Amino acid sequence: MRTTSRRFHTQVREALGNDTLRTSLDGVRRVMPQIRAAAVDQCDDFSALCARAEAVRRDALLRLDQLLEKFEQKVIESGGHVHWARNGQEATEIIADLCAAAGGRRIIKSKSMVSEEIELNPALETAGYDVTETDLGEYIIQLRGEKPSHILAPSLHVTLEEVGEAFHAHHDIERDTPPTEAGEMLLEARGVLREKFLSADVGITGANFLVAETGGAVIVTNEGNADLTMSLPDTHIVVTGIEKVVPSLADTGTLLRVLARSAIGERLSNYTTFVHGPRQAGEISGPRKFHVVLVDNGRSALLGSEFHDMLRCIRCSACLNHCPVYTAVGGHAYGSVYSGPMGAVLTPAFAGLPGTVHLPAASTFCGHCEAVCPVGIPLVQLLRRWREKSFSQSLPAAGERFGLRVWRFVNRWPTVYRAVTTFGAMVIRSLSVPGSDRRRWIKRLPFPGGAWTQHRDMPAPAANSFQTRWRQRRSGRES
Amino acid sequence: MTNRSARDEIMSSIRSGLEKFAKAPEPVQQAVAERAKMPDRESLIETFRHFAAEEAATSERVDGSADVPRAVVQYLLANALPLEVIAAGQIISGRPDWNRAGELDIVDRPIRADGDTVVTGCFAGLAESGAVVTISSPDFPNELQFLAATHIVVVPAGRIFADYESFWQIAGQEFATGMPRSMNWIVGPSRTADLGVPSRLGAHGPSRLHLLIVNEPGVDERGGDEPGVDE
Amino acid sequence: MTDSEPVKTVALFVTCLVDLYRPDVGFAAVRLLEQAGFDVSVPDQGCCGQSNFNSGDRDGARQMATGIIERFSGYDYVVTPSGSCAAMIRRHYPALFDEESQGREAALALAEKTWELTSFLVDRAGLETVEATLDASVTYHDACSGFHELGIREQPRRLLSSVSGLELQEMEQSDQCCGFGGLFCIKYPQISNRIVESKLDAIRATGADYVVAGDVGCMMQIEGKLHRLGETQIRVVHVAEILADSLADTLAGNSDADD
Repeated sequence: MRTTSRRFHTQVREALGNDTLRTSLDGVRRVMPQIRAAAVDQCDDFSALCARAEAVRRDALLRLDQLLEKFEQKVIESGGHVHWARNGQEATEIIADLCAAAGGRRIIKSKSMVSEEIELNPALETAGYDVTETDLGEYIIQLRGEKPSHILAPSLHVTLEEVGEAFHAHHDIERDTPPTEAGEMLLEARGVLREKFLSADVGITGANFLVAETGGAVIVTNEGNADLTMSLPDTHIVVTGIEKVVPSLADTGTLLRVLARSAIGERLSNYTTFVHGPRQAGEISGPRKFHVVLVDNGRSALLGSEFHDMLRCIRCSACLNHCPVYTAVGGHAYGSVYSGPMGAVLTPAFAGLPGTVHLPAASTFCGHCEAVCPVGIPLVQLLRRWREKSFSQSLPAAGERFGLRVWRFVNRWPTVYRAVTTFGAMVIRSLSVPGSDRRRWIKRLPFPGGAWTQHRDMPAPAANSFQTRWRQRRSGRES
Repeated sequence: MTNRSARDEIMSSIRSGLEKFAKAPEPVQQAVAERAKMPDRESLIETFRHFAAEEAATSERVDGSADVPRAVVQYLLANALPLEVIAAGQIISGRPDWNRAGELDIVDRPIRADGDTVVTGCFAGLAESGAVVTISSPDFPNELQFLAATHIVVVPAGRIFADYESFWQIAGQEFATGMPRSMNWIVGPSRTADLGVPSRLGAHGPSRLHLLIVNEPGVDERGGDEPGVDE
Repeated sequence: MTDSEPVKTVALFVTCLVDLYRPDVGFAAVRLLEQAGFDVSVPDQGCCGQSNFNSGDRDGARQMATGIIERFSGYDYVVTPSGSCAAMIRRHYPALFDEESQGREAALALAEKTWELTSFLVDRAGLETVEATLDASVTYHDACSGFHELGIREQPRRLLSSVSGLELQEMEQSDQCCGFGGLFCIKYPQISNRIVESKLDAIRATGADYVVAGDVGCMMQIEGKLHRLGETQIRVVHVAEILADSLADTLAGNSDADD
């Protein structure tokens, strides 16, 4: 998987300088936890629902090979086809071949994070296809040539005004100025995309879950765009990760119960579709060809590894919405299609550590993410594991590694700790000046403290440490 | 058709990853206790309607199948919609009641332009989320329910299930010979938040979803016993 | 506690930030523990090792943990005025050592008897009220580790509600991170700054006179930003200082006095 995570600092700076992005993210940070909490409160015992969901995902992974075999067998029985792709390159080639076989040049897509991960659209466009995203958020960023900035709300960073401008630039409508009203834009998008739906040769969707028992794919949206994508064209291609499979239809109910609540604070998304194979005997519509492309691209390597638990992820995005870092900088800063805490664990796994080292490093470990994960992924622990790997590969800056070594050394003996910290406190305190509140403050610290005083003052260390004063009190009492 | 070597490599990678784990037992199906809150059919139906309403689906109770056509006409008039519906599935064709609703035009054509109203039956209702379940079949080209601007669903009261588990029990029996190509759980009209909040209705699918809950059993061609309440 | 029972001993794990920046918090903790009937000792001590642990230096963390475990064995309880240090010892020390090893056993023994201060007072010592006065409105910041790893939420609030004259004004999303995050605030200062700005918005909206927290790291982050912005009318204090009624000392700048 390709990323621009190496440019994390630059991307963060750009994000922090973007005021409209700040407003959108503030909205996410303040509202999303609230609506999730409201949905959770309405349940008798949401944590029990999550425990069941976790068990379903945990057990499914432990039988992944059997489930995938069963799934494949059932899809074939229903008249569909299953294709296996070891990596993104292979997946895009398979899909391009399937599109060629379908004939025609028009492809419509519903949202699929895996398709972003493997960069499917550019590959198809290069091969001469007209690819249209049908999820409104994906459509908007497609027009703007951007990557998604949130795994569920890809156009979170785009203002309504910018949407209007994008529509104005790309839609063939006679007018002098861009549309400005959301209602107006909705009707316009509905009309433009309707044409695409009705004239498409191939529909490509992702899948939220795969069902081994019946060979089904479960696809969830609020817009209904996936349903049009998978029912109107003559060929339907599902592209998804190998880890998505669960044993039975009943298991999907367990997962659906926690998915929409965790994602958007709803009991169920507007459209939950269970699709099995191509058009059946006697039907007058529906795709005649049904293909599932199972993508590995680094997933099987995680099985049995220290990051195994990450494969449980059902892409609900609760962790993003509750993360102080994600809601401060947004998805583009991460430089990966997977952002937030889940992205900070997955991206190094799929793209390698050196280039992605900032993602697990840039976390306060506040723990909100794992508190809201509906399938109990120990995200903080996994992030820490990436930091352990990073440390053992000497990836953090030399100054940081040196500082940790010094601190470790200093703490071997309490006498050394006391001597060094007394000295250090004295030095730092010497840089302080009295404040209006009868305390002393430092306005500017030398490296590495400068990073603190860039934005904040530092209260001065005490003239005498607690341990020093404690000893004095004790000896004072004893004498 | 499978690409053998890729498949083999992936499977082998999966198996070696799983080697360290003890053999996983078959997972046990677990029941869910949301039913306590729906002790009888009336509270089940009310819960169904309440949750559907929270997602902007409107609903009304209708005594019998004979009352459905009139209810459709009244709904269309109340919403200033043309008195024309697309027949979708067995819900209309061949039923004498509909011929009596003279003022209503029932047409049978594909949907291309926007703005049509489609009336369908449904396979079931799910009270725990206020969703209706429809399935594709030779009689029901299910894309109609996504292409229409208004979707009216005739829901037999006796086919509303309390929760997913009781639904799967019946569905498992009725789909024993094979799953339908497409089963859709639909709650509320289509919506999007990508153009700001609050969400807008009618993103691609219908902007109106209206449920006619019929008390008589056997309205839908499947009929069947009252499910989900007292097991 | 009856006269026939021996007095329980508490070793105070003071934490390096309290030790070096806010000694009064340590004294307030001692006062509260002694008032609750415990015999308080302060073993020679250093850092709990969480910075090394969270930076991926497991060996360094283990080494530091070994020292702490040695020095803090032999007491009935270990109490610390910091959720993050308590969590480090309780939740993370054991796994630093190999299973079945002596180190693991000793770590488990220490973990079992280590408590964050307010949780100790309420959940262990059964304290329900304190004798303290503060005529002011305060808002409580839930520090992350204490909140998520140790479930500390009700305990400080219960004790604060018994402080005479104190009015508790909850801020919106009191459990949102302040952006300190250990080394994070220095490694990613701009992000840390943006996070604390959001925190300050929530604080200001309460109109409270005081921000109260249970971790000095969070306090330094919040007060450091307030002071840089010139907003010194909001004071940032540790919950122990209010409960021990020792705030007057801190506010008089007595932290800097020689004893």
